[in-house]
Amino acid sequence: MKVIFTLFFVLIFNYCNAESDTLYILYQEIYPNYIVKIGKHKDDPDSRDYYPFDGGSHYKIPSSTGSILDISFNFNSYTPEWMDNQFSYKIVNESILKEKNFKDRSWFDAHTYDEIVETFSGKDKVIYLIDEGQIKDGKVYMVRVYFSYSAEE
Amino acid sequence: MKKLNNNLSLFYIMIIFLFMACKQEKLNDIDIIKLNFESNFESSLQFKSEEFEIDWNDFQVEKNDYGSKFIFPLVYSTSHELNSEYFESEYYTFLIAEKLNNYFDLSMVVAYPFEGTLTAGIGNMDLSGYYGLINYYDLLGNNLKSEVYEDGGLVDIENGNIETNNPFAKAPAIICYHEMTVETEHYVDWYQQVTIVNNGATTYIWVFVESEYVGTTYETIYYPEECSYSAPGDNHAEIHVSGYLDFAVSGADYWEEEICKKAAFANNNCVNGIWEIMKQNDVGFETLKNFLGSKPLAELCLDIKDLGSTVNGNTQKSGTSITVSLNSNKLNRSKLSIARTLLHEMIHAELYSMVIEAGGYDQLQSFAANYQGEDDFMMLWEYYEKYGDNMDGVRPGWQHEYMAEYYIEYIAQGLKELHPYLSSQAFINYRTGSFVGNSDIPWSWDDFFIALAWEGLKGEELNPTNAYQIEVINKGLEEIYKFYASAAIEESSTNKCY
Repeated sequence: MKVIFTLFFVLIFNYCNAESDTLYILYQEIYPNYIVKIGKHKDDPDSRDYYPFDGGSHYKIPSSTGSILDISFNFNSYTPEWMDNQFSYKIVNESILKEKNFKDRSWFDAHTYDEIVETFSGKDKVIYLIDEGQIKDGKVYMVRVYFSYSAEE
Repeated sequence: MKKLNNNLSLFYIMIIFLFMACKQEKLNDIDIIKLNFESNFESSLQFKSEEFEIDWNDFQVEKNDYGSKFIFPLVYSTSHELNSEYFESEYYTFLIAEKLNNYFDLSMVVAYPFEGTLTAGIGNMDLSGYYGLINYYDLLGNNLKSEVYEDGGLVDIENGNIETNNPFAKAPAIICYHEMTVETEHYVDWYQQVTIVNNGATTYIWVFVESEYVGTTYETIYYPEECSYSAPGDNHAEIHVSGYLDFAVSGADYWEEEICKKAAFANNNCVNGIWEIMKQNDVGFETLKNFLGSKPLAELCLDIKDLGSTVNGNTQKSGTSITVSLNSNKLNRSKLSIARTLLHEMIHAELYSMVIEAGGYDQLQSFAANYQGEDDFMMLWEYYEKYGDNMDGVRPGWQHEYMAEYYIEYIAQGLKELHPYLSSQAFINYRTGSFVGNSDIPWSWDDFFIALAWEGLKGEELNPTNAYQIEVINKGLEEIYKFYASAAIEESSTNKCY
């Protein structure tokens, strides 16, 4: 019984304090111009010019209510060492969409601006994004993106 | 088997119970305090319910071996007048809820810092280094006790082990009844600013010139019947205040030195460093002076608070003082962006202070009509009448409309001056000579400063400010400016304030 109680308290403690730091987004472009290409930087030594090495992208989130401020998930493919938001990616199978809890268009539609900000803000959050339009032959580049939003003053 | 089932049932019940407990503890505490306060508080001479509000989401918790103490600062409206003939300087009021064995003991606390003493932490009820009086009241306004602190230590009034000085003598002794007349000689200590240029770097120091006697005052004070102490030198002391020779000091120096820093701000080296650079370059002063003329009016305090996740900062007025707060959750931005927020909020503070000077919104129109100076007040009234206050999701409000129309270029100019100090050379090199997004538009630092200035003044997607609609959206510049604004986050860690 003591063992059960010990396990029980450990479990409860962990449950109360656990925090998921990795988040996944499936970006489904509905409106044109909501994916903004960054363009190749003049100093980028990587000659590849296809996704995601072509400079980077800003993935903007369309407003479901029209009243929100700007929200986007960004990555640059050329990030010098001094820069905070370093570029990284993984090549994954499309099946990952079923394995992980991806937030898709319907999730963003169902949540308010404040809820979205609450979900993705915080310096410890790691966010990976799959661009639905980039899935080819069951494989896709999953890129690390950085959350950006305008705040009021 | 039956015993096993009973144990399992007990186990599940405990899981549910503990799960609920760990999810709801803090919420219940605040609800109980709020209910307790609303049920038992009565307006009194010290605390008039119509004059203050309590933000139930803005509190501190201190825990010790015996329980928890919740501290809520009271936010006063402009109509509040200090009920003390002794203290005319800033003071702080709190609701304190002490939790012991699930019972809450509520009291009101007023802290009166002595004039001329450092009060860095008192805004958060941090008494370390505090000089001043603390009065405790119950919810009916009855004075429970008074305490005097010197350098954070509680002074033993009862045993008279204090070398009384003038600040102490000025304490409003609400529970004391013996009279004493205190004689105070007043002096102004004059200082002159000296400029030192060394290897191209300019620094300023203040040099003492002389003390000028300006007069003697006599005050009646009261002390507890059982006290045996007496004032130092029986009842005589001197007060020296610093004076600065006019010809040696700029208006900016005067204004900046008057701005107070709360503990959270003063203790944040990164943010404090930004402010020091702004002071050295007189950027705040010049930005405000550029439009509103002779000199800024606002009596400011700077603070850092937890303001949630959707605002960079805010400006609140309490009585005649105005506090600019940066959001502690939004300091992971470039130093230049944080400086922008400070500039933005200082303009809010200036506009608030003009409203206060006019006697509030109700008096603004008549004050503006009779004002003998520039037309600034009339313009404020026209904006207020046309646009009203800010309402989230409905309208940006008169201050943002006003600032968007008149302050963008001045904020941008201020950022341009700060840029060499606050931006990293790596970022400057990275962006110089690059292009805007995927276009062939060359990167422009002037446009970058303009774009940063628009942050906070563009309004919401469906409710942009009038100037943003005309100057940015209608001119097809919105995406370009958004790119510039997003580029600011490319800064290095060392040029952010985590």
